[in-house]
Amino acid sequence: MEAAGMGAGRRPKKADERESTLNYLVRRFGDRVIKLAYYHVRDRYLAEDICQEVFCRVYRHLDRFRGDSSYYTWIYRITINLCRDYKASAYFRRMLPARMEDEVIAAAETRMFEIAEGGEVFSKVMDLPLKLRTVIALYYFEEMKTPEIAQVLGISEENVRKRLCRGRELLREKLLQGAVK
Amino acid sequence: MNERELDRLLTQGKKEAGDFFSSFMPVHTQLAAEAVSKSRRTWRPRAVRRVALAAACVAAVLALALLAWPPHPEYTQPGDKPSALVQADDAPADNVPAETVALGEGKEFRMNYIPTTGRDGAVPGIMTVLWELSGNGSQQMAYSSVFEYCDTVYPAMIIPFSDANYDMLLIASGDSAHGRIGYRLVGYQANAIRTWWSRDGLPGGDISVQDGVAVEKAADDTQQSGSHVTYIVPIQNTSGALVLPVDRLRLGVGERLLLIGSSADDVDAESTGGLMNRVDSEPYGQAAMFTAVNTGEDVLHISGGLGDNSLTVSIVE
Repeated sequence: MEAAGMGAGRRPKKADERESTLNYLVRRFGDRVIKLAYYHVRDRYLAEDICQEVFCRVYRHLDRFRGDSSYYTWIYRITINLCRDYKASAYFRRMLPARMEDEVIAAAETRMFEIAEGGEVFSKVMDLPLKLRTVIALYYFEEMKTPEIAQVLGISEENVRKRLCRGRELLREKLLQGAVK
Repeated sequence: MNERELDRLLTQGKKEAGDFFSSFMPVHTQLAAEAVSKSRRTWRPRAVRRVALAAACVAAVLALALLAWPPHPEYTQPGDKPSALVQADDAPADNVPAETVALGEGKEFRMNYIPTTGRDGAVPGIMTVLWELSGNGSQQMAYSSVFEYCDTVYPAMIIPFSDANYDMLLIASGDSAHGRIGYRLVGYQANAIRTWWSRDGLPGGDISVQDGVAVEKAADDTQQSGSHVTYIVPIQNTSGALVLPVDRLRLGVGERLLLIGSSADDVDAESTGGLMNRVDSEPYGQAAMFTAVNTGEDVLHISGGLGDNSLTVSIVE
């Protein structure tokens, strides 16, 4: 992965330098952050929100970045943590009374699947349970290595390999059921 | 489908993913500029604004609904009150049913429980809000959820509180066929579990503790035994090590095992003996659920964060 050894180190201090660094980081990692967030939340607009929040945090905490990991790992960890926060706060959405809930859910589903997660294989991967689809997507679609995935997700490499194995098995079943050509 | 064919399809999937994401990639410079400017004015993302708006709407609707709402008799029956329940507040200022749960050492939480209705007037669930009370009389929402009627133990969730001696585990279980629900708030620490608060709407509903594992039971016509049983094993991550309350457990065929970690940790598990079927469903993102399907001895290899552990499960008829 090209970014794996990226940018460990310098601690920008001045405002201009911080903004310059932020611009660089957004150009370098913006696409990947949105993808990673989407793999978690399956909602384009939420993924974009999360992406913006990620870079807000990056900007605020640039001075505190200690350089003992790469920017790449640091930013991905922020993204994962924000996605988990979102998943937890999804419980909050469940507070909606039934009469409102139907409308809200219908609107969200319309928006969520309006692009239909193009492609049969991609959509089958996205239908995997969260733990499995994240690992499958990062490994096969984003071409990350297992040590990188382990670092980003905060799990062991062995666990990554198990999830890959289980994800492949489940995906195979789904693909066979769907008879993808 | 062989491995090569699966690899080929995954390559196809990568292209599909690329096409999909190419349709909504943001303009980078704009994104960076927004991040900087919004960071400077303590910007909150759209999602938060939407939630805040929804919360305001919900509060307004609930206030109206509760004014006309006759309390559901099933939930107004005083049940067995655990010793930790120190007082029942039947008429709080805002007319929302509430009870106060004392955890000792001056630590108190207030639990609101509000039946929610569908269009047909049926009660599809209970909205629960847990407030953390401070000494100066203020309160802060610690957790909220709607427990809907469902036939599985969900949601079950660990709520860590940094300054409490106990972590909380909130468990709901339902019976959709009969429109009943039960839920409980338990605290656990190391190998000890204590029921702080519970309200049973399920026939035969019961929670007990066996060796630090919560055992949840309720009547279930679909089970040969007439009830379903779920063993809930809270897993704590201490300095990277996974701590389980037990290293061995005994289950009957058809009984369920729910391993649950904190909201910050993925808990994953694998049955090495194949005697337990994993329930791979989205609600268990931070947990792992299994059903015992065959008799014998199985070992679950459990991982979470960077730690590992194992649990031996003896399965009997």
